[in-house]
Amino acid sequence: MRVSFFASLREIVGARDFELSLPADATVRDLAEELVRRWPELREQLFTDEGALSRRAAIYLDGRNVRWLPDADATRLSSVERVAVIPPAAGG
Amino acid sequence: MDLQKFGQAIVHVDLASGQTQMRPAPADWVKKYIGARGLGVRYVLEAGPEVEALSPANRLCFMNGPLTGSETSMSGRWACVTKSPLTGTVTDSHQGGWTGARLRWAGLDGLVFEGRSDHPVYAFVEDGQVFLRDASDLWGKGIHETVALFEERYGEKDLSVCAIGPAGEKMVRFAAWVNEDDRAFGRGGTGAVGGSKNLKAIVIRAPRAKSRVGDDGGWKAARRTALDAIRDEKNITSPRKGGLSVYGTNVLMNPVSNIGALGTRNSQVTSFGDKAEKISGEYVKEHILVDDPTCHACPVACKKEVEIKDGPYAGLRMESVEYEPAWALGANCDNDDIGSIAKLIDQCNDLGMDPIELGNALSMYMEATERGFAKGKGLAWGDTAAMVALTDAIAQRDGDGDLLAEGPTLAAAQMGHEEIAMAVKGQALPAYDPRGLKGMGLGYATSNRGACHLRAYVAAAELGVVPIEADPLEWKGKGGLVKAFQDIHAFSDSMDLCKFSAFAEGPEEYAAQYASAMGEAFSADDVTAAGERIYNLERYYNNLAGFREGADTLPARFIDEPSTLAGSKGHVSELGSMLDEYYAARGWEDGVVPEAKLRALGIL
Repeated sequence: MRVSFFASLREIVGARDFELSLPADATVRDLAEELVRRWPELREQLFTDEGALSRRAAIYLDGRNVRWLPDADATRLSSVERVAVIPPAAGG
Repeated sequence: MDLQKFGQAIVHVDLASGQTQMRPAPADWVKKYIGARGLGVRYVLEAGPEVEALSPANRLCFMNGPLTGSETSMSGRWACVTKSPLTGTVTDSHQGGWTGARLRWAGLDGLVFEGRSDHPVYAFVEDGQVFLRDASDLWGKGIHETVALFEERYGEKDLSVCAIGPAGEKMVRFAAWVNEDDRAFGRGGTGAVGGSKNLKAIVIRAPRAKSRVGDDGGWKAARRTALDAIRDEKNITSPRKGGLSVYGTNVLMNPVSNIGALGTRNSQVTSFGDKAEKISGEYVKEHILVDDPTCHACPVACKKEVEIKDGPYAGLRMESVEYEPAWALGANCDNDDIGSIAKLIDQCNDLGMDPIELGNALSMYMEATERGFAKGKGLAWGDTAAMVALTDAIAQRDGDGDLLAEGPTLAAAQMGHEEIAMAVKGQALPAYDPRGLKGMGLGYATSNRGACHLRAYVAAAELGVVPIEADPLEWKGKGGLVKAFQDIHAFSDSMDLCKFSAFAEGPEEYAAQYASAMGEAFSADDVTAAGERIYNLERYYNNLAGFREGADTLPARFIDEPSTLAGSKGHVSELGSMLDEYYAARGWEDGVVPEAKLRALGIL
């Protein structure tokens, strides 16, 4: 699947996006942990101190924040086409 | 000199006779309506809701808030309040920069213009006095040249200029006032009201004043608390770290397109796909950013100055490629050329026009052309050269430009197809599609100045920037949420702090700063109560002006045509259900404020 990063997260990752292969039964949490394994600086963006998914950066599956999906971080990625990781963004 | 306590120095200017008179604002108005937006609406109401917007009887108010010009963070704002020639509602628009602060430093809190001069004039403000001077030699000139001529005349030091351009002079219904070349009272057509009065500019000369306000000890503590919140690295306002500071407002382009909430091709679809990247804040920062200017007393510096390096607009240096105009003149017109977007925004800054309304007028005309019922030559999607040429024509009301100068709603009606105008109460929609951000749609429908993202800005919750749970695709609960956001923003607009302060501050911080500035007790509950009173005052005005049952609506496209793209696919706006919630929270009867409510709020 293609994983895209926006705003300041690009500066951590050093790219706009990249292709990522995960096991067929991988979940959102697996994805987040893989991202942190590759870029440890993402930990404070993606996880709280207690290990839950953080609000600082949100993971979107096909345009939908996983926060609003029924299974949240346990959602499986098998049918997902597009992943985006987005830091907080707002303005006029 | 210390800043004066707010509300004592309002200058009334009769443009017909040339007479000026300083009068304090009525004390109970300041207490109830705070300043800037709220106080301005009260002055406009006094002139009567039935006045024609472009008639001499309409009032044109320029109002500071109690903290404008102080060292309070993000306090470089002031408001322009009048009856809108675009909507027929009362309207207020706000601009940053330094001009509002300089008015305060010149010893004034507000200017109320009435009547019509028989020749072009400008108002020169200095040492607490206002002088009307001949502007015949400036009539017809663009804002950039006007600013340069005033700087030549009076010196650049300690000078601020707020002017209209040719669009205001020609009474284009979405003409704007622009200060210091590029900060606009953008929405609602306030520039056309200036043109109708033959008022070309407000020129203020004043050195920076010692900016302590009110109770020294309390104010310093309140200011420090708010500043710490703005600087907190967890907030998007954090200087040089938060997304708003680093990328500007255009940090939103990619995320909003990603969730299927970016109106594209006149909101026929809800995402700009891969093209969003080419007009995004990330792209601007990587390719054309040259500076990060700021406003008075603001550590955030969200403005982004750019220089175009190639193509037909190479060499253009301007500010600022904001999210709203980049969307309106970009995705909404199927234009992914950042150079032309910068050019079009700069045209708006020079000609004096609202780029959101302009972008919607152009996209409406593009859809009319595509569907075969455009009057005139028509306009193809993404035809940037034609967009630039037509923008000049609109400002001059030449040819097809005269039709579009009426704004997208009236222009579409003249073509017999109102349904392709994406507008509420005559004002065009901003950059958040109501199918993908449902609370924003309700905010547009119930805005007192026509479609507006800033009246409520529940996107802050729906996008997860403030710690309030709000699924953007869920309609339930949005009624109360929109009301709460509208009320708090009505207060901050009246104080007049930058809207973005709300990403770091809340009613507690606002109350502490207001209380210390005014030297009176004021609580967080007082903040929301004042905000509710101001919102109802505006609604009362609009009810009297003829906006009653059924006026709070959205274009049918958002209610009847489901989104087809990822993020919001299959969704429409459940506006009717949300309105039921909203009216219950407000205590209104189908959009009308009952008399008992007006009395309970102290409006009657």
